[in-house]
Amino acid sequence: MALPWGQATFCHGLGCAEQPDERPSFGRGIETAIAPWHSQGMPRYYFDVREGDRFIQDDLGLNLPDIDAAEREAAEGAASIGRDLLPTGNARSVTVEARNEHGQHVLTATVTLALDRVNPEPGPPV
Amino acid sequence: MAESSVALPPERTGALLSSQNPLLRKLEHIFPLTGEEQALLDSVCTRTLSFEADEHLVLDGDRPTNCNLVLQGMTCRNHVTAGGKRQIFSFHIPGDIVDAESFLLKKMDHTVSALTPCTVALIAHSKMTEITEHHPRIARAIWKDTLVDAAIFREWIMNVGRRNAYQRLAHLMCELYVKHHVVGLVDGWSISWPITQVDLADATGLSNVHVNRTLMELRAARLITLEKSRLDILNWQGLKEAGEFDPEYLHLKTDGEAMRLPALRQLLQ
Repeated sequence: MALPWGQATFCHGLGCAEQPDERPSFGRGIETAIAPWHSQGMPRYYFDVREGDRFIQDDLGLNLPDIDAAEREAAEGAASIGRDLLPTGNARSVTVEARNEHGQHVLTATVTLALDRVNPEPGPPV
Repeated sequence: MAESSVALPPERTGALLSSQNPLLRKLEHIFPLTGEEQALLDSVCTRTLSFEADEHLVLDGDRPTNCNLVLQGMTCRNHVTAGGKRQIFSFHIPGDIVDAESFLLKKMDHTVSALTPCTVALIAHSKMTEITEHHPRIARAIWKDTLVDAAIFREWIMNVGRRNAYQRLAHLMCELYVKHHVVGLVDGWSISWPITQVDLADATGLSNVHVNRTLMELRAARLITLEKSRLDILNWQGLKEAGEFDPEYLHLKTDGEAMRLPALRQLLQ
């Protein structure tokens, strides 16, 4: 019996005498959210990150449908990075600067943490 | 898929087991079976089906009549909110039964999707019932495999809940490297990596921009390189420390036949 993982005995799709209805039914409306950015032909945006003194340039970018989507990515990015860095690090703000595929700066998203203590610390009421 | 269409996993590193069935290779390290038991499992894995990248193997709400065992390619378990936000619960490679729970739970509560072109073996539920009723050791082996899956989910909860971005990505990379190693799918320190940044974001609960920035940090620290759909680990100890990765939760046997590969034993220390 030729087992499927032998060298050249893989069995693909219908050639394997599988009934067509072995395949699960698609089109139940969930899958459109999966990998929406994976189509070519969309503009590419680059998201550079500034955290306090550090600057990290984005060399890869993301294909996004339009500038509204780029703004959402920048905002989520700033918030996500801020969540990690701001409470524990030295930086007080995180900025995401978005460039279009021509290298032009198109928008900025900034998340800032402000910490203020009452000084002097109030003692127990007399 | 744009940059990450990968056809097949890389060549296997040696044929240590008599069977090439990736499920058996994996079980060797979790719950070794006798030759007869292995042959029996082999015999129910002969019906195969192929999927394209981004196709769904099973959908949330389905009542499948087969379990899907990955023979080639990579899949992920996922679910999407009403607002279209996707969470990936796990990645699955050759040797993984992606929906063993459907055998007992009957109705899927999540979707299993192909990240690459995939080939799966279909194991009919009726066959599973037959085998597990007459061969309790095989039942326990599959049970243990499912329990290890649960342990992996718990680590992923740590990832999404408590680790910072750097730790999350490093941990995930370590885990996937070890999983690939167990089924003989590593090429030195390199593994196939069809996982896009968006997939990583959905798996770790980070934003896309944050994943991108964190990958650059990992590269800058010379822990990994990631290009042409391959992950190369440059510094295993460094990556383990960065991710606080302790492979204990994978419950791999470190003695006996399973550890004929000294490299794996060393990897797990």
